[in-house]
Amino acid sequence: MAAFIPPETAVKTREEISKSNLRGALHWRYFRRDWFKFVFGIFLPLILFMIFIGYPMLNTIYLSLFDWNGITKTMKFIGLQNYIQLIHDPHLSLSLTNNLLWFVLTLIFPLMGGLVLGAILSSGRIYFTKVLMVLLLLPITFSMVTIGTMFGLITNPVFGALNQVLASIGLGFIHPDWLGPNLAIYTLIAVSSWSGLGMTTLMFNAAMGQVPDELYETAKMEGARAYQTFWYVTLPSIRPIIGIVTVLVAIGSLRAFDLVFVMTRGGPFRRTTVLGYMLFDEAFTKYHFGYGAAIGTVILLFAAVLMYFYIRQNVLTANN
Amino acid sequence: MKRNLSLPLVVLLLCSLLLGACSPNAATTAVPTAASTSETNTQPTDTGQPVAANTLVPTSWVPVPYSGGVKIQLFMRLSAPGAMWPTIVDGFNKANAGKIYATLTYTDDTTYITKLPIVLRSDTPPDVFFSWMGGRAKMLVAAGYAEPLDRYYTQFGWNTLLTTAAIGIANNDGVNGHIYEAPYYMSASAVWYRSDILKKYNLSVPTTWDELQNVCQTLKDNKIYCWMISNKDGWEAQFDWTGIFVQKYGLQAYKDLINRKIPFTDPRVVDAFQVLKDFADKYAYPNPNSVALMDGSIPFAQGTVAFWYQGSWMPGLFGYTGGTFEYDFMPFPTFPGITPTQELWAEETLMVNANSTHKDEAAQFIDYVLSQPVQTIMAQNNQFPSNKNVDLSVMNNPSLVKLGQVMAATGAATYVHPDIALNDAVSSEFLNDIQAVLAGAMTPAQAGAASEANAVKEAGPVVP
Amino acid sequence: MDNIATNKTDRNPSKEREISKTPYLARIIRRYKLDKILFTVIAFALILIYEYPVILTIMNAFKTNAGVMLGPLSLPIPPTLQAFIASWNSLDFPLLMRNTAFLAIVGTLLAIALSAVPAYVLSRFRLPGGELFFVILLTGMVLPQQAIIVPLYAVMQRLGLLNSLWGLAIVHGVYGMSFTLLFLRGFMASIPTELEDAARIDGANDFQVLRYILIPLTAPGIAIAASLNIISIWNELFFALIFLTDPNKFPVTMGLQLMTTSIQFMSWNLPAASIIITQIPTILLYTIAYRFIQRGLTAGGVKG
Repeated sequence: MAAFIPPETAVKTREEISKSNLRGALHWRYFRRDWFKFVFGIFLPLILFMIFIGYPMLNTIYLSLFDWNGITKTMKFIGLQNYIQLIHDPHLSLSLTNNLLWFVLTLIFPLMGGLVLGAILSSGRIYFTKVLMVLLLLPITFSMVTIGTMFGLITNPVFGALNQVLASIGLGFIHPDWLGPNLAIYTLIAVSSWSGLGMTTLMFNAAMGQVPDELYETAKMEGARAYQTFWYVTLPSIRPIIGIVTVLVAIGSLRAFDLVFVMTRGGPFRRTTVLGYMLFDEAFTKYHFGYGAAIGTVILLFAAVLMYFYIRQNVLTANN
Repeated sequence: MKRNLSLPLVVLLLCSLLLGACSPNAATTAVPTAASTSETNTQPTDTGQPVAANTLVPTSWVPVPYSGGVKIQLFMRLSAPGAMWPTIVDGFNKANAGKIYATLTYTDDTTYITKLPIVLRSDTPPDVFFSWMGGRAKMLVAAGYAEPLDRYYTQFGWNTLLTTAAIGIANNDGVNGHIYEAPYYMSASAVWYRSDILKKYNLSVPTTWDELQNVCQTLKDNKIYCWMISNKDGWEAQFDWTGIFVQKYGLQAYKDLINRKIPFTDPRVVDAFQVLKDFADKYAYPNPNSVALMDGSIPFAQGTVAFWYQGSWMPGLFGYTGGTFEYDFMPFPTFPGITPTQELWAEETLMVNANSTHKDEAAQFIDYVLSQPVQTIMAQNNQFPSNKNVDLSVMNNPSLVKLGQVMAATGAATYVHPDIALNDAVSSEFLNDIQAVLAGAMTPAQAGAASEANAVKEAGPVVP
Repeated sequence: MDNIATNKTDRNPSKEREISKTPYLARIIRRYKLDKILFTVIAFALILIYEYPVILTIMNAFKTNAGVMLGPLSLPIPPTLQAFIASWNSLDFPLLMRNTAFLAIVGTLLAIALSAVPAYVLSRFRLPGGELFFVILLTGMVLPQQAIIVPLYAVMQRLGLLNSLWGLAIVHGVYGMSFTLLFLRGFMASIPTELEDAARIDGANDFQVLRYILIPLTAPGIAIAASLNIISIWNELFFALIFLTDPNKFPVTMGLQLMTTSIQFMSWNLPAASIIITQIPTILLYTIAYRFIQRGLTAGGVKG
């Protein structure tokens, strides 16, 4: 690491030339001059990161090569056996399917819903958009335990409000089993979308607000209708934001755990298990910590891929 | 700005009131109700709702202060009356002032299984902790966390203090002839039923499985669900499964299953799945996998379902529904040719941490919990004691007193349902398979195969 | 933003021809902005439906247990505080809130303190390996908690931070550092450098530049990051579940978890009341700091 290089390499005075010290490898002089930036800007965060994030990440990968029940003091080395077992595990495909479903549906509903709502709110056809936005964003203040409990009470088959509402509008004969094996994952995704809709709407609304007026004027001149303006003007202009939000949605669907834990605990016979919950179940309920670490490594792999896309999107946005 | 933001909250509140006024006041469930629920808008008053003060450690509790002596740490599961524990801990600390001082730490039911290994591996592990009997206890023993209690059984005379069943259970869970646990809270299972509904339709209490079918059919014709299963948490339906299996094929067959002498693919095991499925399809409250234990008490209280096979803690649950209704219990119906067995087990036991530096003091605490005054307090809180010298009439509930007599008559330990008898790695698959069968997602044969495959993986193959 | 709304001051001949052709009713609607009012009403009705679960929970919290059984949709008349009193008596909410407030404040301060200097460095200086550094620190945002919990537990045990609110706050701070860094970097990058250059010419060193110039300028950004961090720590469950064993140290999410999962304990109005009690602080924070929160969320997505 060379010394800190200010963006402007054009130096002004002789003094500043000696101060900027551009060339050369790391020299104690640079360290002494820039010590504050080094220590607090690089070392301290990096060290803390390594301790609390980096080392656990690496250790998870290491742990996945062992067989350990979390109680005994010794672990048994078994190499890649956990992974072989994982590939053959039917629950893995269940989890992956659920995560994928989560991602796709969250893309469709909160994301697209956010786009539509953002457009509506920024279209000027409604009064009090600020108030609406505040109300829409309210769910981010709730913890997943809260949301899970709220919706647990609503979808309860015995006294839940949802079935009552259906009955009152004449659809009582359907009486769906919201947390039953067929619907549970969709119910969970719907609840998660409910809580995420405000955030996506907010982001898109803000992005749309930054689209220059000229584009809209041009569109109006050419006689474009509302949806045409939306499709041909608004959407392309905020494409980078859509990219970022998509990656955020993907990250969110990978991290899905709290809601599953609170509402269904993996669902009727594991129908709503997701990767995060499968890890928790294997490691903390069945005491298979090595196997759980293998699942954790898989999650880390996915997370790495998503990180790559996130960085790429950020760079794209910055360059825009 | 702020003016703008308090507006939405006011709007929210107003709209909630408005909408509440417009919302339909339909019946509680879309299911036909036998008893009519009042459709007025007035709040029914709860009669003696025991609720919170009876279950979690109350806020106002100030423990007896430390006055010297050895400090021991307790780690408990907070399920049945948690408010009992402050009384017990205070009593112990007062009785041993200056010599031993116990501090209480706890966690809730659901997270206990997760927390226990974490707590045991921490730097301040507990000296005394709650453990289930059976498979989980054996796992703790195998991991080296449980201290053998043989010498304390002799020293404190627990062998003569505890009921036969309690001692039998403690011995069964022992390894190499040593005892590792001290049961202090016993349970039995019973079929709780609405006696007034049976009376209303002139039905006598069924004793055999066939009689039960007839009773259920009559109830079904009168639009009442016969049997509540409430299997949302996954563990409730195993009661029904085990009841069917033990009553139809005998206690020895069940013991063989638990001890890995017969596989889960055994035709008797598969048949038990089938019997449960057929019965549930015909007579059980719908969607059993979605109804939680607490939720099931609503239809039971309202009289839309008549029978419910669960543990002896149920009367405590009924208290939350508000209002009173008539109920009683009966043993699980019998099948021809097999001697019926009453399920009887130790709900909670105490273990001493093998790594504790104060084992003798820990044992003293256990002795205190097993003593007659404390066990009487437990009985008053609807927990069956393991101390045989407790007068059960202190239980406020005639049904429970009667059940206590049944338990005493049963004598020795019999059996306990699979998730306690086995460890979680084996039983969780089994419980999931029961859910799958009830939902129709798996055939009984598939369920047996899946359970067996998992059991082989976790516990090794069957050794007949 | 009135992109598509009609503007009466536009003298557009084709538009005028259009207007004269449109029927009388349409003109009335447009003049009195009736369509806008209609859409507003529809929008509010939809929002009401959207927020209905919250409304239901609030209503159910004011009922008795048997009242909830009778009908979840019915109005609580007369409203009773029974559930609130019972909740208050069974869980020590002041203690839970104190613990959570401690976690939130200390964790947030730590996150900000840790992120301030790296944000400054990354926004002002071109560092070889700087992007990599940035990426590495971002992993804290992407990482699911369960994936690394077991080794993290071992680390905490080794450091003696188990069962300690300070330990948990440190963990929250380090994990919050990722998002805070992302955000503050973007924020600082948009602050012009003239003041700093002037200060440097006067001979200020790094710490002084940071302390006297940059931090005050970044104050709105810090407020934003703080609001989001506080809400996120307030609502966090998993780490608290694993790392804390002493019930006197539990945060509110653990308390709520206790209340909703203890089998003997469950009723239906108590969870609703507890939810309201535990979420009141976050809702208050939300109303007060809405502006910050809004800017924080949009900037994180928009700028990058």
